[in-house]
Amino acid sequence: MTIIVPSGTGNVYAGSGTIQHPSWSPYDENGGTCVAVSGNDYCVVASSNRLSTGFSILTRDESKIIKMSHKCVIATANCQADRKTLQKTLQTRHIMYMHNHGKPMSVAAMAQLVSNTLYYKRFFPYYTYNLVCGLDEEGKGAVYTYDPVGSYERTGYSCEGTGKDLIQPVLDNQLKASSPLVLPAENWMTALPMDDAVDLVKDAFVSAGERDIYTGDVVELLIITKDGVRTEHLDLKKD
Amino acid sequence: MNGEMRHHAEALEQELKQGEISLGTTIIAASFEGGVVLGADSRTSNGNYVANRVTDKLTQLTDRVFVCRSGSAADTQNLSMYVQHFLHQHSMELDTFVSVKTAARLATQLTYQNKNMLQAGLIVAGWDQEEGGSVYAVPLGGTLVKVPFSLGGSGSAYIYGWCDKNWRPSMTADDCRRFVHTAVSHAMARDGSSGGCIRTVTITKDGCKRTFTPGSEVPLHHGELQGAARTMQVSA
Amino acid sequence: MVGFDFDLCKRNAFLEERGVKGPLLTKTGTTIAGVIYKDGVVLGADTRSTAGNTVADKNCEKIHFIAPNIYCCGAGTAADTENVTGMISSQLELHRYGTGRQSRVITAMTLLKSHLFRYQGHVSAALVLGGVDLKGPHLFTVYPHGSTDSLPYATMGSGSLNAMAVFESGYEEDMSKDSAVALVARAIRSGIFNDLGSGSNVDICVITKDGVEYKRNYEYLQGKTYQRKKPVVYPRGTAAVVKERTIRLVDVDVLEGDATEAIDFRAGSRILEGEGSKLYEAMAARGLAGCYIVPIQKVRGVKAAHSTEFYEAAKRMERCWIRLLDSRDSGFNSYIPGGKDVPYSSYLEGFTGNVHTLWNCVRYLYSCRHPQVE
Repeated sequence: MTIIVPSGTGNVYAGSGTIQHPSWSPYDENGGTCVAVSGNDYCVVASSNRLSTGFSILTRDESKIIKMSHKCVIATANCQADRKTLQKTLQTRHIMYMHNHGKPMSVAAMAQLVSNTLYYKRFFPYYTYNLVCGLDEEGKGAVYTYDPVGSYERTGYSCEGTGKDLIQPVLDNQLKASSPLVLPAENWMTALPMDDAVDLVKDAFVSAGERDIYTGDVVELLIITKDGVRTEHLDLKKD
Repeated sequence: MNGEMRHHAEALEQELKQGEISLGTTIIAASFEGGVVLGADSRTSNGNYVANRVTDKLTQLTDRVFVCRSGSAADTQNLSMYVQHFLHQHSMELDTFVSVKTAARLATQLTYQNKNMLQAGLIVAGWDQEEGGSVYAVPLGGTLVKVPFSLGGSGSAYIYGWCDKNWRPSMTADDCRRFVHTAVSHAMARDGSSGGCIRTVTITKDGCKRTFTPGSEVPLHHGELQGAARTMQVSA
Repeated sequence: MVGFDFDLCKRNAFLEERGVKGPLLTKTGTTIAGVIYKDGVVLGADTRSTAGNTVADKNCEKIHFIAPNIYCCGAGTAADTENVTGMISSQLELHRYGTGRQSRVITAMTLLKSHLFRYQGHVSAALVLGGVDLKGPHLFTVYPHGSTDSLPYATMGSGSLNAMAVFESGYEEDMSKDSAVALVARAIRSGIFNDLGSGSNVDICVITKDGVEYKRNYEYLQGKTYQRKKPVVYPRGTAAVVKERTIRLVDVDVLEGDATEAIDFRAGSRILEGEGSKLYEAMAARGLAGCYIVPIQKVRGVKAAHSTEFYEAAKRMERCWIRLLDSRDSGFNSYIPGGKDVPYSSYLEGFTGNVHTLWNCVRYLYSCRHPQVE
């Protein structure tokens, strides 16, 4: 199986390679990292607030997480234009759903909606990396992870964006969750207490901020429990 | 040229353009009764970025010969170094001033023999015993022409007409310097790749005299605005 | 024949045509800058080096030694800047042996540009060269294709625009040393915070006719913002033992232990005795540069707290662990300030045999000012 990444997004520097005329790309790589860790009765979602292009910082204060309901948020890394469009579309659809059904969408339903919305643009994808996170209908933490064209999977934890290569292996090591699809069924949910999960996520971001040039400034953490969504901020290095 | 060589040559031509610092330039040299005046703007750019705004594009080759450089900064600087080197050796054997023609011939030979490697448009000008003040144009491919006056660089296109109209064969040194100065200022006003300050050198049998006009004193032309530096005292 | 080996160029070009990617080179996406001030030149650099999107080194050195009176900041491919400055430095040293005179900055500049021009931009080194010679202070920029500029203030690297913005607004002629250093540090900081290719700390180098002040990590800008509350400790046996083999420790020395002595290089004498961390403090309090030596106690069973005992122990030792210190020693970033001869030879006179290795080490480290070697 292959994860699809849109082509023609490589940075074109003046005079790089043998390109003679400036080429134009409909995409911009704006960086950023999103992490989500779920537990038995919580879900921690975090993303860095730096928005950048090439070697420049566009802003140090751009939230990449949208709150859909008290039980569901979506974190989106990379192309900011596509993220805005995607999140707006999803929010519209969600409001329409609430009018029709008189209740917010479940996380599972939202996960399917995100997949459909992404696949709808299969041949001109939203160049975004998404995490749908929240509490499922049993009240357990849920994390859904996507590729840019809508292939998705429920996992116990996940990481997307420019810091993925640095953070994902650490999460694998610390949380060791197998896929929910593995047979015979294994306990795939992390057994970490919530405070430890928050501690882990913060440490992961601080470490990624040391080595990934697109992760920095501030990390925004959303902690979802049955009582609602609590937000925390942690400063990262600003260089 | 066989296939492999052509491939090689094409590769070289493409590589020449990679992030190279270029002198998007206005250069000019004009002869007058008893000497020459060379003039140039002072801008060196790297894409959109002005890498140096006080460049000296007028390089001394011998006591009485200068060269105006346009094209790649690296190529013209290093080419000038070679010309200086050979002329120096030659003058020691000659035991007198090297003629402008010799300097110009040497410059063309180097540009012609390395034309696949170089992006260098030069104007060699100076004074010698045989010809008095003389100007030699040495454009890209390695051509050599003796002319009464010559323009070069991207900014030259804007001032050919004006120069054709205003150049006269027997100007005084001062008139000629004013001619060069005005020409460069007009080119700088229109050409985005030229700008900064104006440098001139006047070469006569008595020696070389440089002038430098800072950007704040370059004459204004149609549509140009008074810069902040001219009107305001910049506070510390 | 001196030069590069081009044997595999054709093969690599062919592979590249087929879409094979070459290895990632470590680039110093960089902010480097320099100004001329009243009495000399100030050079500055950030300390981040990158490989693609990741930071390869968080505290690298970009201000390279060229001659005792000339230093050079490098941007571009790390290997190119290091080797090109090293080669020119060695050529100049030979030239000094030949002429018996101080090197001139313009000589260094001409050697650099000729070398870079010969390789038509393939040696990607973008440099800010500064120094003081008999003609006064000089500052040059050198581009990878071999062009040069002579300027009163100069910047290079991916953060050059950020730094130049600071210079264009803040530069004044004939600045004092303090304001020149402050201006360069501000220029570098603007690169560090606004250019993603630049980061970490500020290095500064001040060159005057009287000598060089190399201020390594002049500004340490930001440390980690969070310490993990529950660091994971792996219990013994987490990694299963698959096979065991015992090696007798005969020729291996244990390179651990507390320092018992510190030596002030400038004075050429032992000045302090005590335990490791106290030595740091004592030296810092006195603003001293020097090194401390750790005798290998555990293996030899020598308790060498006293100086004469230490000497005796050192004579018998097969190996010593030496560590170079400055007054603000921060472990790995220790260095020796450059430029001056030091009578450390007198101190080491009494040593024989293997301690010679120590002397050579010290001399080597001193001559190439290699801070990260312990």
